[in-house]
Amino acid sequence: MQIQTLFQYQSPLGVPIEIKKQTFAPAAGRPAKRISFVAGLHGDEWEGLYICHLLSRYLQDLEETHAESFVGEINIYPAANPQAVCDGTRLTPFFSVDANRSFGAGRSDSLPESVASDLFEDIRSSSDFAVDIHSSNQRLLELPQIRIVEEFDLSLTPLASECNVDIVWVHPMAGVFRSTLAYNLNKARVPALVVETGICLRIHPEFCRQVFHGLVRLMRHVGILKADDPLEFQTKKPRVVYPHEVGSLQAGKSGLFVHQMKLGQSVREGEKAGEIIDPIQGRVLEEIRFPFNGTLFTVCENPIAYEGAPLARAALDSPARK
Amino acid sequence: MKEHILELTTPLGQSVPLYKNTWRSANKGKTLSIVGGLRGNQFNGMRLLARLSGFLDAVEKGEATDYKILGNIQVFPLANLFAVQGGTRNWAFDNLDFDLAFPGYDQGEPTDRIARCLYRHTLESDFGLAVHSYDSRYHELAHARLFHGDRKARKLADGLGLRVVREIRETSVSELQLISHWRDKGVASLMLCPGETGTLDTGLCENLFGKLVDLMIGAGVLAREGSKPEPADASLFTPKDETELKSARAGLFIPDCAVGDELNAGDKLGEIRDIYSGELLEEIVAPVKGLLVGLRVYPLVYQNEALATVVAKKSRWPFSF
Ligand SMILES: [Zn+2]
Repeated sequence: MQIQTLFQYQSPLGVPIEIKKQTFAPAAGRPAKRISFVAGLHGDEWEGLYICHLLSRYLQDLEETHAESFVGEINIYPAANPQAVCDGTRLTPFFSVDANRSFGAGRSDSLPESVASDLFEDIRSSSDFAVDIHSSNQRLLELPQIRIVEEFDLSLTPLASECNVDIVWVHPMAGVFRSTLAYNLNKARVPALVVETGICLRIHPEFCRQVFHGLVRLMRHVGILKADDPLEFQTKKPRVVYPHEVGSLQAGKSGLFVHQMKLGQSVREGEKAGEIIDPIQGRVLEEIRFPFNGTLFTVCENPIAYEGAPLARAALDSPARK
Repeated sequence: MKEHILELTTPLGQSVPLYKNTWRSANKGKTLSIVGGLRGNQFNGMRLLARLSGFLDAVEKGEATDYKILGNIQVFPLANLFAVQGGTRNWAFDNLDFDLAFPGYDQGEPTDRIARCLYRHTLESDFGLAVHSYDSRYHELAHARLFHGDRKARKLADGLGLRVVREIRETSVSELQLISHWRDKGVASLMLCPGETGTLDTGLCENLFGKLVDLMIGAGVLAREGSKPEPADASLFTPKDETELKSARAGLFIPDCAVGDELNAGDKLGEIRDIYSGELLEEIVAPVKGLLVGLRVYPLVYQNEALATVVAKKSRWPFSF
């Protein structure tokens, strides 16, 4: 394994801010295929850093014990936005820019967009596949899942199905995706999966191990690793859901949301999900009940709720008609 | 007239209303929509729209006898209510850039709902003006922006009579902006950038107020007896006309110029010094003759950050199209 500093820029303290990548080369000759794993574009999402750590440890051990397993090349960018990771913030500190809304603009006036442009070029030119790992936001806890924009369904869903996640969610396009890393890689014909797992500012080791196993499976599936090492891996066939198969629960009132929902819980229509309370008047403003039968794959963990806030998402048992 | 157009409620039960100010003529005329307060610290924009609203109220009451409202004018002075209340650029709760929240969503959270409400109220306008300035660390000369090649917008900008109009290239991010959505709906739309963010410049606001009145006359939503707006010495700058200067070194940037300066090639714009020793690390010099339209005002700089923007008047404007 080699660690390379891709590029660096100097802070006002004179200290270099460096983006690094690990590369695992094939045992011999040119790589059959190349894959890149990216984490830490949002600095408050640490599940991806731990998944990259698990991958790196596994691959380093494999290099020592089964070097011939490496048929392709593996690149890991464990902290793609190092300043934000060090500060634990979603936005890049100092610049207040969302790094995963900075792609596709080309080189520009702003330093973060120039860095995004260089990072994109490095990943694009050294990958046949890519996986960008995220952890939703500071409010929503996610079951390990892969999200796919509808236009890439055919090319990405077969790959996502190998990744040992619970859910593959094929969703409609929205304008904000145009400036994300994965969308731009897919447009540049590098199939790129977006993993969402856990929640910001936390590490859920069991979810991370699940995704780690899935990513190793993916590497075997696309012919980057030979499947000759003795480790046993979890194999889970994800449920692939399309927009009409996803139910969402939202707050009808503003207040504090108190609940006992669990990720993966199977819920019935009419069952109570929780309540929204008014802390000033000491009243219950709204009893929240599920409007569907399904399995929860997103649960709101932050009690501050404004009207319209997402409280839960579920893969529906009997989906609404398309 | 101040109209209540949306009601939001905080988690502690407090109602927060969203307003627009409207003025209508008896005859059905053209509609101009002006949206401001997209961030919580755009004080020039807030002052400008309050000044304009006071003026239009006076016209409506017959107190400004030279003027008459011919069409429909609606001003949305404060869009990002919670950021204004919190004294922050973005609302701290969602940290979203409000100008990228359009077209919004009726069933969403406050930012989505406000964006949707503004979008719905404005999308059938003939003209749209978003009063919006960017980075409080980068002082920009008051100017108008429009998308490269947008002819309707050029014509509208012509009526504004500003010294600088900049055409910007569309990117995956700018596609989300309000003026981009307006343009897609056939609205002639501009962004008016009223100088520095985070400070209040009343003289500039008064000057821009006059320009907005001219724009309204040019757009046919307001009439003034007697005089027509004087044609201004405006220039349209395309992306090719702009030169950007960046820091080769990180440190403390000490400017030696001000936005609006007419520069000659070789003029010193400032220098970067080491924070510890004060040692001179880099001298920033104008590479071309032109007008300084943007200048870094926040002194700490990283390597490779924008320090200044110079435009060179290559394309004269107004011109026929
Ligand atoms: Zn993320």
